[in-house]
Amino acid sequence: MNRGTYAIRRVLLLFPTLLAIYTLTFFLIHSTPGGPWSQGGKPVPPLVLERLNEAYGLNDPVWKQYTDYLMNALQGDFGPSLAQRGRSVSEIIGETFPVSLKLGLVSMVIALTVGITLGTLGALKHNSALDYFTSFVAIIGISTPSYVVVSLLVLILASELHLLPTGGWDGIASTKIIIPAIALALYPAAVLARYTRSSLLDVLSADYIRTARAKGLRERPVVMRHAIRNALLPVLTVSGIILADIITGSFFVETVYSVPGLGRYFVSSISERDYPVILGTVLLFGAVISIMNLIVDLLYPLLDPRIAQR
Amino acid sequence: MVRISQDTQDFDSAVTRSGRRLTEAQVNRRKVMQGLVASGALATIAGMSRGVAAQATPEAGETYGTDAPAPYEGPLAEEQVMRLPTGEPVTMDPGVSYGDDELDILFNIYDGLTGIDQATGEVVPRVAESWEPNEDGSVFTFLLRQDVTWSDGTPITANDFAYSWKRVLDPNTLSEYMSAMYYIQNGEEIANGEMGLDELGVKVVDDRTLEVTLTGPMQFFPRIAATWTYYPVPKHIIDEYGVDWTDTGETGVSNGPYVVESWSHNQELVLAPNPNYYGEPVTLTRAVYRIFEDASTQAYIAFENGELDYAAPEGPDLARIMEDPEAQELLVQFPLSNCYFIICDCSHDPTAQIAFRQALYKSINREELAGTVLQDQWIPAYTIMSPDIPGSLDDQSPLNESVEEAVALLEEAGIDPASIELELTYQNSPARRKTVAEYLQATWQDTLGITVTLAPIEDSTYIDWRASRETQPFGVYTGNWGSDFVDPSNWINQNFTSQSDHYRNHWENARFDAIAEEAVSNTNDEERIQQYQEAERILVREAPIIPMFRGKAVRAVKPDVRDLYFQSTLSVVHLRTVKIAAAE
Repeated sequence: MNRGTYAIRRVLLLFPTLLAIYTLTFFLIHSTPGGPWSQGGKPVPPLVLERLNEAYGLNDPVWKQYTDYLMNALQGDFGPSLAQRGRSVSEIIGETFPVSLKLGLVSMVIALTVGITLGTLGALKHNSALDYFTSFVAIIGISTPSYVVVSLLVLILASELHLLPTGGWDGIASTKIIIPAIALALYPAAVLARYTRSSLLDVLSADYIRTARAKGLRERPVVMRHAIRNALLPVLTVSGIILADIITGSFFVETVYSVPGLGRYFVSSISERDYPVILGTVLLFGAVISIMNLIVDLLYPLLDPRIAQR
Repeated sequence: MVRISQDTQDFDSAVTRSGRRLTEAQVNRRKVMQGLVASGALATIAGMSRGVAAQATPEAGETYGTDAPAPYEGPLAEEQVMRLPTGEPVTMDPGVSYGDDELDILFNIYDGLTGIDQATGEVVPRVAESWEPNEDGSVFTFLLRQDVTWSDGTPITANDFAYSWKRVLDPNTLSEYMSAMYYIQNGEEIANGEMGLDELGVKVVDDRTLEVTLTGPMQFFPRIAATWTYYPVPKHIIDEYGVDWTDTGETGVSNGPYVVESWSHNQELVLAPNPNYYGEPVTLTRAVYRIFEDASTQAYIAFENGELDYAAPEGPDLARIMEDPEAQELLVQFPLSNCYFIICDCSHDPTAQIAFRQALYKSINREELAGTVLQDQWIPAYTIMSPDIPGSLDDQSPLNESVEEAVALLEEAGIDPASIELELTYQNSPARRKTVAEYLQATWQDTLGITVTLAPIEDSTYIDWRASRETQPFGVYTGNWGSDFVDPSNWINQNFTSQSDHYRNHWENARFDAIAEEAVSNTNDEERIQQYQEAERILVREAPIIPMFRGKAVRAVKPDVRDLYFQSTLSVVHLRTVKIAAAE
C-alpha cells in the first residue's frame, strides 16, 4: 500500500478511536457512585438537587445524555462545567491547555537537550566512569515519581535556599517556570538518555561506520555527521510519544506547584464528578495522543528510507 | 476574638490572660450549611427567644475575648498590600454559594443589612442603620441607610434586598443554599414549589424600609441576616450579564469595603478598595489572593518563603512549626466551636443498647487520641456542645472514661463482645479521619474485645450515604458539627431531636425532645440554659452521639499585619480593618 493510502487510513482511524474512548469514559463515569452535587460535606436539599439535575440534563436517560453530548461535542460545544458554575468546558480548556502546553514544550526542550547529550556522552565514553554515572542518573530519573521530584526541588531551591518561588505561573519568561519544567523534564530526559545511548552504541558498531573510519574519516565527523543522525531516529519517535504525554500536563507537578494547567483539572474533575469536563479533557487527551502517534508513524518512514521500502 | 499582636499567643496563655476561656468558634463551613439546612427543615421549631429585651439598636451579643487591644495607631507601611491564600472559588454569587473557598472573599466585598463586628462578635449595623423587632421577635423591620450605593454608584434600596432574597429561592438561580432562607416565612414552601416567590415574608414598605416576617420568634435573626446568602446582589449587573455576572473580566460590582479588581482562574484574585463605599474606608490598597489547589497543605510553605502574609497551616506543617520557636511566634491559636464525634445507629443492635454505646464512650482515651495520636492539634471533648455555647456542660460529662467500667457494662448487659462485629464507616479524606478510625478500631478491639470492621467511603459519596441511613442500617460512623451562631438551638434542636435527626441515628428520647422544644422559645435566660444543660446531659449519657475532640484554629500571620480579628462563627479573614505596619 502506498504511503498516501496508509496515511489516510490512519487519519480515518482516529474517529472510531476517539469514539471508543468517549464511550468507555462515559459509561465509566456514569457507573461510578457519587454525583457532582454532593461534594465534600454539602447536603444539597433534594429539591435543589432535582433542579440542578434538570438544568444540566442529568435527569435524562443515559443513552440520551450520551448522544446529546456527542452531538454537541462534534460541533465544538463541550458543555458547561458542573463544578464551576458559569464556566464552560471550552473556556476552561482554553485557559488551561495553553499553560500545560507551554510548560510541556519548555520541559521537552530541556529533556531533549539534557537527555540526548547525556546519552551521547554515555555511548561515546562507553563503559567509562562517565558512562556509568550518566546511566545512574538516568535510572534515578526514571524511578523517581514526579511529585517527589517537584516537592524536593521546592523544598531545596525555594524553601531552604530561597532561590525560586514556591509556586504559581507567570508564563514562559519567569522564574516560576523553572522548577516545574525541571521536574517534568527529569523522567523524559532519563528515557531519552537511555534510548540515545543504546541507539548510538548500535549505530557505532554498524558496518557503514566502520567503513567511514576505514576510509580515514576523523572520529569527530564520523560521530557527528553519520552516527548521531542515524542514532536519533528511534529517539525522535519516542520523543513524539513523550511530547504527547508532557503537554497534556502532569497532575502532580501542576498541583504541587500550583500551575493552572489542564493536568490538574483532568484529575480534579474526576473526584468532583464534573462530567462535561471529564469528557472534554479525555477527548482532548485522546486526540492529542492519537495525533502524535500518527505523526510519528507517518514521519518515521520519511526519515528512515529503509522502513519505507518494506 | 483574638487580636493579633506581636506577643506569642498560644492557647493556654491566652486563656489565662483573658481571664475566661476564649470562645472563638470556627465553623467548618460545611457545617454551617448543614445547620441551616436542618434548621430549615424544622419549620415547626418555633425559633428562639434569647430573653434579651427587644431593642432598636444592635443586639448586645456575647463578647468574646476581653482583651481586645486598641486598634493600631502607629506608622503605616508604604505598601498596603496583603497577600493571602485561597482555593479556587466555586462561585462568587453569594446567593448561590454554599460557603466554600469563596467565603473569605465574599465577606470582604459585600455588606448585608447587618454584620458581625470582628473585634467584639457583636451584631452591628451595616446597610441597615437600625432595626426593630415586634413584640415576640417574629417580625423585624429594618431601616436602611440613605447613602449606600453599589460600587458603580447605583443606589441600593430595600428593593434590592427583597429581590436578592427571593432570587435565592428562585429555581432558575440554582442556589445550593436555599435553605438559608427557610427562616423567613414561606421560604421553605417556596423552595418546595408550594408557593410563589412573591409570597416570601419580605415586604418593601418603602425604599428605605424592609419588613421581614419570620417563621416564628427569632431574636437571633440579625445574626442570620449577616450571613452571605442574605447579601444584596446587583440586579442591573445580573440583568446585563446573566449567569456570568461575577466573572465578566471587568471590575466587579458589589457594595462592601472591597471590590474584585481581577480574577485569573486558578491563579490569582485581586481585591481593590470600593471607591463608593459608604462606610469606614479601608487601609489596604490591594488584597491579593493566591489560588491554590489545596491551600491547607500548600499555603504555609509559601508563607514561610515570604510569598504570603497569612496562612492556616495544618497537619504536617503544624507538626513542623511546633518544633520551631521562631515559627511559633507568628502563630495565633484559639479553640473552635465545634465537635467531632461518633454517631451510632440506635435502631439496630448492638448499638441500639445504651450500655453498649456507653461502653464505646468509656473505652476511648481522648487525651491519647487528641494529644498523642493526632499530635496535639485537637482538644479532647467529653461533651457535645462546645464550651462557648450557653448550656454546654464543658468537661462535666455524666460519663467518665474507664475501660474497666466499659467492660463491666457489657457484662452486666449480657453482651458477649466476641459475638459483636461493628462496622465503622468514615470518609477517607483527609488522612486524619483514617487515623481516627483506625485508632477507634484498635481501642475497641483491644479493650472491649469486639470486632470492628472499617468501611471507608469517598468524600463525595458521604452525603448520599448519610442521607440513605434514613432507611439503611449502619454500625457507627464519624462526623462533626460546628456552630453557625452561638446558641444551643443550633446544636440541640437542629441536629439531635428525633424530628431533626440530622445524623440519622434514629435516637428518641421523649424528655429530650420535650425540653428542647420548651427551651427554644423560653424567654427566661437562666431557665433556658438549665434546660439545655439537662438536654445535653441526656444526650451525652445515652450516647447516641459520642464526642471525641474539638478543633483548634492555628493561623500564621506576619507581624506587620495589624488589626486582623478572627471571629467566632465563620473563620473568614476579614480585611475591613487590616493595616500593614511600617517595618521597625
